[in-house]
Amino acid sequence: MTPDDRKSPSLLVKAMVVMTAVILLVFSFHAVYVYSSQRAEIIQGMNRDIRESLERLSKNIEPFMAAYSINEYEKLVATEVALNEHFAVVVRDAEMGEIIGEPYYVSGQVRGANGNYIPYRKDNPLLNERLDQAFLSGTTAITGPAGEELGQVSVYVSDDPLVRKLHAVLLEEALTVLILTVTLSLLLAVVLRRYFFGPLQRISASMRNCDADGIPLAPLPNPRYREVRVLSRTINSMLESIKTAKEHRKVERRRLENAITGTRTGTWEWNVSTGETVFNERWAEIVGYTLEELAPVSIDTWASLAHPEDLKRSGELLDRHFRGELPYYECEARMRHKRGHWVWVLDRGCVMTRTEDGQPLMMYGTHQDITDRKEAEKKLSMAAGVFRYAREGIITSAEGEILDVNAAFSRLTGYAHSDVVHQDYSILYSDRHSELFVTSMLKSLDEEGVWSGEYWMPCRNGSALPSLMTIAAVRNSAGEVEHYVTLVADISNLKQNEDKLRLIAHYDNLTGLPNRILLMERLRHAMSVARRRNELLAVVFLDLDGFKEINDTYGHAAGDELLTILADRMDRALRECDTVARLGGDEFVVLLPDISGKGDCTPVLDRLLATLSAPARLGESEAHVSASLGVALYPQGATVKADALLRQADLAMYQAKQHGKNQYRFFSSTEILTIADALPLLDSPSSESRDN
Amino acid sequence: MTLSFMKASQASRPSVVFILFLALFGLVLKAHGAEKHLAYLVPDARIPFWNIMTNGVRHEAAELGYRVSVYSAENEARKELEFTAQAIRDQVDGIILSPTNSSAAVTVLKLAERAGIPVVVSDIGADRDNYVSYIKSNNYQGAYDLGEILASALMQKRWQSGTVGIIAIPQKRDNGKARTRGFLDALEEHGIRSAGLVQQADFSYRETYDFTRQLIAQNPDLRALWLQGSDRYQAALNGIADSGKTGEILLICFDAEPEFIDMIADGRLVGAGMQQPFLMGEKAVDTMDLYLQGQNVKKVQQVDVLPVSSRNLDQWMPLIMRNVLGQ
Repeated sequence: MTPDDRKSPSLLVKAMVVMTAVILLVFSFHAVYVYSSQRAEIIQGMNRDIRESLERLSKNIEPFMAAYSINEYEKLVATEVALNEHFAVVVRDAEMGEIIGEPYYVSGQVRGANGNYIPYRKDNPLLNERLDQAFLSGTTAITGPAGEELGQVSVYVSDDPLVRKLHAVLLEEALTVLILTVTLSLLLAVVLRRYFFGPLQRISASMRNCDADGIPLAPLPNPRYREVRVLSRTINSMLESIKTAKEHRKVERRRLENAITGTRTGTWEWNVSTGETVFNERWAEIVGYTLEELAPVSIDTWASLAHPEDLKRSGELLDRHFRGELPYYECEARMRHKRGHWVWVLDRGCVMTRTEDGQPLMMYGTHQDITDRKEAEKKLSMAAGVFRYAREGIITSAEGEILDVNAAFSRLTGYAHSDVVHQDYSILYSDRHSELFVTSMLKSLDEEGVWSGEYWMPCRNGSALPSLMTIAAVRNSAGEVEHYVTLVADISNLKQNEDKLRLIAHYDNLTGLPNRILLMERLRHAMSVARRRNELLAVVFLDLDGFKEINDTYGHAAGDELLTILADRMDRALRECDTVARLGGDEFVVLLPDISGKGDCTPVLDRLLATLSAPARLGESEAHVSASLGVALYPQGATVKADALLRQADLAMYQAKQHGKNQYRFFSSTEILTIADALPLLDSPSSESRDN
Repeated sequence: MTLSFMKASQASRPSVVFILFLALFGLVLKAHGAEKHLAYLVPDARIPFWNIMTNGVRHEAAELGYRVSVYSAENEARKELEFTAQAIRDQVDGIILSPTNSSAAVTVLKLAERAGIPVVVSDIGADRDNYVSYIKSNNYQGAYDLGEILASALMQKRWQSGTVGIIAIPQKRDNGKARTRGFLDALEEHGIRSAGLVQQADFSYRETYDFTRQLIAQNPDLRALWLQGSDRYQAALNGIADSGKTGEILLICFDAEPEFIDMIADGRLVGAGMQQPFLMGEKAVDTMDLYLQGQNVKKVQQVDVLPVSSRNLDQWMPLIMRNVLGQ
């Protein structure tokens, strides 16, 4: 119990005082009632006593008065007065008055001021004055046996008996009230103490046995009676709630402390009106100090360390917060480190209490060292610049979802940012690449974290962009893949150049027909297919008849134009699956795959002869040429290579030339042997010069 | 005075002159009440006792030079009060009061007191003491002496084992109570038992006679009767006689009657306690005189009762004749 507890009023005493006052009040009202009723009753009794005394006296005095026994009836009067404690009794004796020459001989007893009775004398003014002070009085006549009046007797009653009896009543009532009050109060005290305050005191004692925070160590006792039991149980519930809340708060506090410690957050408390501040150790540590080194701390400590520009901005933000324009104060500011460099802090706070007139009073906040973040932001800004302004398309993705694409990507593919962001990365898969390609790419990413290669990037318009794509896995400090960055470099120009080179390498520059290189590739491919499918392949060697004259007549330009026209005619005369290639000069080779025999070839051959021999307009002139065709079939009985097959067709063409031109000839091994011996090899440079 | 005179005759001449002066002054003093008026209220002057006392009063008043008015109430209260009122109206200087009873005396004393008149009470007392002095017989002594006389007589006859009956005056009176107490004390000292006590109410012959017969009838061993009064002695004697106890029961009385002298002498009466009313009357006037002269007087003065028996009758005869019988 603390001194304050001892000074505080006791509930028991208070209850006792109140109950005692109530009891006193109730019994006092009862006493007043009793007093009033008793007073009326006493006065009634006094009047009755007067009547009875008068009756008794008149009856008893009469014989003595008749016998002139004055002393005897005076003794009666004295006895009556004494017994009944009358204030006075006065007897007026007519007979005796006659003797002494007066109307009455007056005698009697009057109570004096000292309480003793003294004989009444009518000539004593003091006694008469005493009689006048009587409270009640009565007079009756004394009559003799014959009814004659012998005298009178008067009884006087003072209020002394009334007062005395009322005093007795008052005393009795007071004693009754006192005894009842004391008894009831004691009983009440015992009852209250035993059944109410006792349990309360036990509860109080149990509650005093508490920890440093004032929480009782043990549950409160469980009293027997319901009201206090409910109270105890309620308090126990509250205590349990408080304990739980306390534990929760403890946990929360620990969490907060851990959060502050774990996040390495500096904290500050600022009394805005006085400038007093409280920093934690981390606050000082951020700027390289200890609190001891900064002591004494105040708001000026902050001002002295903050960058002047940031301090100004901080002040503006604080003013806005104080005015209620900002719900919170937040400012990134630089502070001078002990070693001289600037560190960035994120200064946050909020006014938690205000004065009655609304002025800020207490403000609480934190400091976080954001130097690294600021540097990261700087780097990120730079990276963002790269992202934003790079010519390569950049895709960031994680877990198969496209996170972002830059403007270059949109420009290259036609996809808007919103078209692809948050879409599955698979939308960027191209059907131009096989599953094997994709599997290989993913394997490389998984194992090496990077993949680079050409990739057909699908475009929004359905086309595909040839690109050089590099996918790199971005890992965190733990080595875990956080996301992927895909760089898409447009190599369409490069591809076009490649196509051009490929075209130059495989096609005839004048007619656009496959050249010898491409012809040989297709020939070998066709031979392979024919062998695999057990089909026939016809190789037709074609040489124009009379072309040299055209060149000579119309010039090489006209010759080239003629070649172009004829090449176009041949392409149109052939099947889709057929190939016509220009070996050089006026020599062409036609591949006729998927034929069943010689008979299937002849229509094609006839069409070729016809279309080639048809006149061709060269400017305003019309040229006429024809063609000689040599045909070699594959497969043959013996194994034959492409070069040999082509030479066979060349030999057959030679025979057609020899047989009059504008015709075709199939290769025959017996027929051809003599010719072959006389001719140079087909692919020798001398054959072209011969055509010319 | 006799003594003073004898002493004066033996003195020197200047002394003789002084004594003569004193004697003359004494005579003056003796007659100083001549101009004053006294009233004597007596119950009934017809009764010898009161008559003798009245004579004593008159005698002494005359001696002292007082004029005295005697008012006999004839035992009537109204008369006594009327006489008292009369005396007060006459503005007497003093009242000698022998009241009809002690209660009535109270009213007389009260009226006198209001009138400022001193009162000396003689014989019958008063229930109040607002008097100057009370002259009374020594009833206890007289009764005690009578008891001694009776005891002696009984023992002489060897009747001391017998009992003694008492016919008493009202015992509410002080004199009655004193007489009974003194008499019984004497009997007790001698081992004589009382047969009982009856009180007179109307003091009539019949009453006394009946009481006598009653006591005798109720007490076979009764050997004596004591009559606390004197005037109804004949009723007692007749009662004894009618009971056949003449000579077997002795009679002894208080107070005196003239014939008692002969009756004591011849043995009809064992003895009598004789009050001295004449002396009491004189003493009352003397006391009033002293009071009126401003002298201190005793509040109560007792006058001896003469225990007269056959043995001392002759010796006290002169006193009896003057103070008792007023002759």
